[in-house]
Amino acid sequence: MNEILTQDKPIYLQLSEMIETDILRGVFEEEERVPSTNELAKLYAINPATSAKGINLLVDEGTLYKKRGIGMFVATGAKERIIKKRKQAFRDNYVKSMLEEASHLGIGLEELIQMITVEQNMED
Amino acid sequence: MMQLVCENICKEYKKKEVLHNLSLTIEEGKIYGLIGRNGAGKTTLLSILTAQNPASSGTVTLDGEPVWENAKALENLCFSRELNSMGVLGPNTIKVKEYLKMAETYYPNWDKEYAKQLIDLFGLDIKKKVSKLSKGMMSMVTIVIALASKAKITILDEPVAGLDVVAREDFYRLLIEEHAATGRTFVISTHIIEEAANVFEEVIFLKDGDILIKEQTDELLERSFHVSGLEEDVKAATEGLTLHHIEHIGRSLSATVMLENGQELKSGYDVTSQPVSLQNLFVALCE
Amino acid sequence: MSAIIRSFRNHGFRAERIFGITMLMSFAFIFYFLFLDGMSFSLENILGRLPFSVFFLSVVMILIYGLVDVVCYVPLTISNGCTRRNMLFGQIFMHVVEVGQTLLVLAVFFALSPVKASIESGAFLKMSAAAFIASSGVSLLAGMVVYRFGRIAYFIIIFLMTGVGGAVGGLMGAFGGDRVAAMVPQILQKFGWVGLAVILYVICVAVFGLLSRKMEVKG
Repeated sequence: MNEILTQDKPIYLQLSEMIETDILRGVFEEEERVPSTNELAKLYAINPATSAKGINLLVDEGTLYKKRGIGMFVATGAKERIIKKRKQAFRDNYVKSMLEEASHLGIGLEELIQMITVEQNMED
Repeated sequence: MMQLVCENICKEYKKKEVLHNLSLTIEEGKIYGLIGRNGAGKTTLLSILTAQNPASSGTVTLDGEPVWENAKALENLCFSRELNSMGVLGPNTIKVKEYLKMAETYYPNWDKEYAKQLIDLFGLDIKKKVSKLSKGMMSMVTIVIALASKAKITILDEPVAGLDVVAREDFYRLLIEEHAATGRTFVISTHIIEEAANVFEEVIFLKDGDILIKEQTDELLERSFHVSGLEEDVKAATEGLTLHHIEHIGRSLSATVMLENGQELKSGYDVTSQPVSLQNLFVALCE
Repeated sequence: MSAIIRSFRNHGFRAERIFGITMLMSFAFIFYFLFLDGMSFSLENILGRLPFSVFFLSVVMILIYGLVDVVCYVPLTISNGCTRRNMLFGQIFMHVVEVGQTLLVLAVFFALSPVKASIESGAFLKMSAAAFIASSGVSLLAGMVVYRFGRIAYFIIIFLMTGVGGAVGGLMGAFGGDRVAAMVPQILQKFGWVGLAVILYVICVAVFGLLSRKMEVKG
């Protein structure tokens, strides 16, 4: 929460990702309540339909669930689910793009793997 | 479902048609943004929707009943427009107090408490004459009347025109709060597009008396892209699409495109495609 | 509270305001002229001049204030969602309240006045009623003209008013055999001055009503 909204991605996606990040960080624990559609709308000065879309996305994915009359809660196992989702996203966004860009620049697979290994060694 | 529907609205001023056959539906509970250049016909359209001025032809109905000269329908509509510091007979010497009293008399659901809260929040001196108000204060009066009217469908014409950035942010928050609390329908016309983009559920682009676009904001932005790269690559990737706001620098070309259902940018070309902001999209389409 | 009652409330409030200002001005008028004439501000002197002061000022104020009301306030009521029909009824209500109150007050002042004028009270009141009603009607149309054509029209109308009075009198005398001039005595005979004024008022209201439908409100 409290991140700034940017222009490069649909707002509802940014909201859902923000909530996911917070779940990973422990800002919201499993079985804890998350802000409602209206609270989010007020907090970010956005249209409630947008915040609803973001929350519903997480409900559809099973990360959040609704308790009638009380609000939205983090589902058990949400953390695992999010990590799995992000690993897939990592592959789609980072890995595939990296391969595409490498191909544009004429970097072969071996060179690429060498780059990664070198970077990794420097980190350690 | 309280729907405000206008069909085939045409408006002529001195032989010149300023609105061409407009039809649209305003649905309950949404916040709409009406965006258009100066002179596009926004105020004219809004005043026709609220039966303040007659259309040259076409109908406006609220829940199926025509709004023209319909006192009952008008109880649910509020059109808060920019105040003029000059009247026909010279400076506008009507006091803010009187404006508020008028609004209180004519809007059956007027919330006096809420009005007082807003007046205090804005620091308005209601004993002042309108001609002595700053631009910002005039906008604030407009906003107080619109919000406190508690009308089911509330239309604001350029409410943030005179406000500084902090006051504008306050307004958006007040708007969202009121909308969350009551589910009222709001239609807001504005020039200051980017800030307001997040607040609008649906956005309407008006250009020279025609409706260019009426669509959910997020859907509109999801299908609009700014494509740039080598000229041939861009043209190939956007084959079959209409290019808006084309810009050339050297061998590179950039354009804004909007994808229709099922359309996609052709892959395999080294082009950069980025999301467009609502403001840039509007500017691109205005050419 | 229905829409039309709300309209009455709003226009009624404005009627009271015009009435109040007219009364104040009548007194100011009297004091001013008493002072000019070097006479004392005795009750007798004041009461002596009161009826005529109120009469004269009311005719003028009803016209001018009515005009201003149409130009400044009528668009505002429409902006706030009042139908043109309810606005029209509100205007009529406003005139009725104004004229009614003024006539009442005038009758009282006339009765109290020590100066037994050359005119008897009944005739005076009838003349006043006719003048006020006519003035109300004309204020509607004059206001409409000014609203449409702007500030210049305002001055033209004030200028015309002063001229019209004399002009009509002169014309009537000059063209004794004119059809219109001939109609007037006939109507007068049947309905009297008040009747004529009411007919004029009704015509003004009708024209105003029709024009108001096309009226463009710019807030």
